[in-house]
Amino acid sequence: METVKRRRKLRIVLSAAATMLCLDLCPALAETLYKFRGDNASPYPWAVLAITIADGAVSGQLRPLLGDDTPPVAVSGTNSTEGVLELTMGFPSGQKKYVFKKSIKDNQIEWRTAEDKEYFFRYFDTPLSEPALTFSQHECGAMYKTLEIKFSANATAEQLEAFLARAPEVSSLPVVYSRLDEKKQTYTQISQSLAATLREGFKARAKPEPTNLNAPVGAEMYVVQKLRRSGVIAMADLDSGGCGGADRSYFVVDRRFFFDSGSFSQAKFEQFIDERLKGFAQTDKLKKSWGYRLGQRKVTRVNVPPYPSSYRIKMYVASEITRQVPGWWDSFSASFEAGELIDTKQSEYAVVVTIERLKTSKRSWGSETPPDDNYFTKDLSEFDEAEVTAALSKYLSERDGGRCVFDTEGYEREKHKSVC
Amino acid sequence: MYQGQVRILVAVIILGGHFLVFFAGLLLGIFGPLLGSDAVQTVLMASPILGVTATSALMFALRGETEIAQGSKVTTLFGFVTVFFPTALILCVFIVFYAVYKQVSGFGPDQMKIALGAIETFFGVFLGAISETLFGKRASPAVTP
Repeated sequence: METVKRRRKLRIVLSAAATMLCLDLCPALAETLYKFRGDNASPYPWAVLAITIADGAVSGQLRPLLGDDTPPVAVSGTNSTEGVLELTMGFPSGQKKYVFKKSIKDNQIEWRTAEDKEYFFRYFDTPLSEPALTFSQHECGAMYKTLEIKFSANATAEQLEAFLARAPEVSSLPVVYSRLDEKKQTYTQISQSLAATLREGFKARAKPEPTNLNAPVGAEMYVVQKLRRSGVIAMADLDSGGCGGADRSYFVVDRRFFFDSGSFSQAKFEQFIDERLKGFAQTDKLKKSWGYRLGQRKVTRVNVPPYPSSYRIKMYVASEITRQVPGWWDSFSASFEAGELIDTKQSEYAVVVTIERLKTSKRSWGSETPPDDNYFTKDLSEFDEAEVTAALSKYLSERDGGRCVFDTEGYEREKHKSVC
Repeated sequence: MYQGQVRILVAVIILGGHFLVFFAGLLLGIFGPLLGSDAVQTVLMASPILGVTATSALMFALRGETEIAQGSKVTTLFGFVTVFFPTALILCVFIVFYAVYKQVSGFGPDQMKIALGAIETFFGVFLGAISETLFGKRASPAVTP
């Protein structure tokens, strides 16, 4: 009898605890996350708007990007008319009221003010990815790899060293640093550790220019979040940069091609690229077969979460396939860097495609296999490299029902034969 | 074999060979892997020795407008040497051209230029001597009344 009473008591206690927990968590579970651009309390132009709309009332928070410790701002408002949101944001400097109107563009639900100064969006079919909640989105700037950092005005060298000691995996990460030559006013690309780059940037922190560096694709999110929490950084984000051609070249496919049991599989990634490259190199658009040669591939794993991989290979392919120009063999170095980008959905994974050192060799009449490097004497332009990049990205995405992105800014689009 | 026959044979080999080398060099630029400037360089590099010798051969041919004297009988060694070196030069140039056309591994346009230079240098001495011996100017034979 005593046991039954005790059980009943326990059940009542558990039920009460569950109710309290739900009161606390259930609204949070129902909240919808949007990417917000406009005034916010953080040093970044973008923030995360987390709101719940219920019975015409809106409540929630305007939160900083992930890794930034700016306190959230309370948001309240009404959704009395379909397609109109009236929001009040309680900034430390005072409350601000906005009226947003809804629109639908591609696969996004967008809310904009009449002046279009403030704006937020989410995808129809998938929540925002972690990179999307971490980085600002620039119309022209970087979407991956290139980061800009500004140091806190009151940060000390001791604090920087303490951070580097606390995060050895970040400190030792290989990056490419753009070092300014004061006399020539030109930038030189230096490969060194992130620690060395941060020390160099810290010394030059008084200058107005931010420290720019290229991090391995896929590792940017971890690096930026760590830097934001380091206590020495005022701002760490994707490079806001300027518009430039071919700055974006990647393709996106379903995660299942690279993931095994929920985590990224280097073996599957290698197998995917191996197989697809052979397919790309052997047949042109008219289904004509060509000889090709693939060099020794080099696969490296980046030593910070989520441990992304990069795949580099030298390729020798008929120009009918790469540039859709008859009569040449093309040789180039192709690199494929896997990672989650700001515009990838949770079911997708991106691979950044980079083509470098594109050379060509005139094909002898009747030649069936590409010659060795001695014959590749003619360097091709960056426009041709862009063409090959687009062709490769397009093939790799189309074959598996994905999509590709290639920035043709600065290139004459009508002259491009392969366009994503 | 007589001196006159050897002269005619070598003149034909050199003149024909020079023409074929020039033509093959151009074809290498059209159907082969050589770009325009490389093809022109190739023709220019493969030509000098053969060209100089061909000029002498041509002058010899033009001098013999009416008749080419049969001359005296030559030794087998003389006949072999004078025919072998120009033929070997032309064959070597063609082997180099073929290797480039087939894009043989390790033998690119740069290697081809080095090989042509070496061939020209090696055969230059021999062809100079042969040209002088066969097609050099001689004293006019005494006119018998």
